[in-house]
Amino acid sequence: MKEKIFVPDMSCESCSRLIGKRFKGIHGIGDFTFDDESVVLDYDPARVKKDMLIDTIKEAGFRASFLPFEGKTFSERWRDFNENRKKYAIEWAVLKNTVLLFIMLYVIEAIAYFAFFFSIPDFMARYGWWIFYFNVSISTLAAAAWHYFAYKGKVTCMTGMMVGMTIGMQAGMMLGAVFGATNGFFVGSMVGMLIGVGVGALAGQGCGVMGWMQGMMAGLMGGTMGPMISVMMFSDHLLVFMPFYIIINVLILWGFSYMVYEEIVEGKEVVRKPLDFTGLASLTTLIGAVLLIIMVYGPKSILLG
Amino acid sequence: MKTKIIVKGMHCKSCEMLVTEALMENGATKASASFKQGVVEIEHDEKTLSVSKAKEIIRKEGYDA
Repeated sequence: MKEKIFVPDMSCESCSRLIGKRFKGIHGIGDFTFDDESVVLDYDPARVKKDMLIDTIKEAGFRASFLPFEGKTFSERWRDFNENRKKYAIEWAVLKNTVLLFIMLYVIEAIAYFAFFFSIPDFMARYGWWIFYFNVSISTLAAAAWHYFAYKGKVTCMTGMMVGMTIGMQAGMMLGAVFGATNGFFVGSMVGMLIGVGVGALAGQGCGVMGWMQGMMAGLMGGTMGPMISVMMFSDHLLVFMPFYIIINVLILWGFSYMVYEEIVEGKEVVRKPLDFTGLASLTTLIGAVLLIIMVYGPKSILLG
Repeated sequence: MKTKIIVKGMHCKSCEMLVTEALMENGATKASASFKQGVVEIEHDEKTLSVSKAKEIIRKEGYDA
């Protein structure tokens, strides 16, 4: 009896030879031929149980099924992510780095606050929430960008475009909204646009002019849209709106890292060269400090007025 | 005794498994391979499995030893 089994994880001839070797050790399995992602074999159902065929392949270390695999489901991926911490070391580091950066920024800001801004009335009322959203935004953005730049691999044009557009758009949207709310339309748009365009271009350039251009366009769009939202909504429950807005943006960035892993890393040959945490932390602190100075001393600041 | 053999041409986990299995079937007491380092390490008795024999087995599997 002939049967086709799908084995999507075979990457080279050795894989099929390895499985072939296992088949040869079982009486009742006749001829078999391998394709890129499947094997067709002839077996005697009286001597070999159907499930045994699958188990044999699984024991050799491959996924196997009589039905084609249609990508991995989210729960399968989550389980894989949880169980193979080593394989996803860089991805786990993204989560860790986000939290560490967030805490680090808060510590530095707390010191600065008690040293310089403690006596200013209304400082907390005006900036408190926005500094929180700023920290969430910049630590998530930095970790997501760090994740992408940790891999030196080949990027298709489509992926490069997606990468440049997503990160450019998100950087502009998140920071633009924060700066729009604290410093008005002009500063918000400038900060959102320049950061978005810069990050988008840098990330998109992996696939040439097209990615570079798309990254800049998305940065421009997000960077001007973010402040538009916060400025226009300022007197209409902006603070209720923000948690939703930030959570969705963070989720998009996590989805972005997932996409980077799936499109650039999984099953492909990539060089892993992540920047160490000290480098990431100092870069983030530097950019964060410049932006925060703009935030508190910007043209609409209560400190100058 | 322990011997390290430099093996070229292994490029995935399956290659490692093919090589180690072939060595174990032919008298090695322990065998481990790393495609990243391009090295196969075996524990063996020179009488049952000589180094040159081991290399021959690896070559028969299709790799340069």
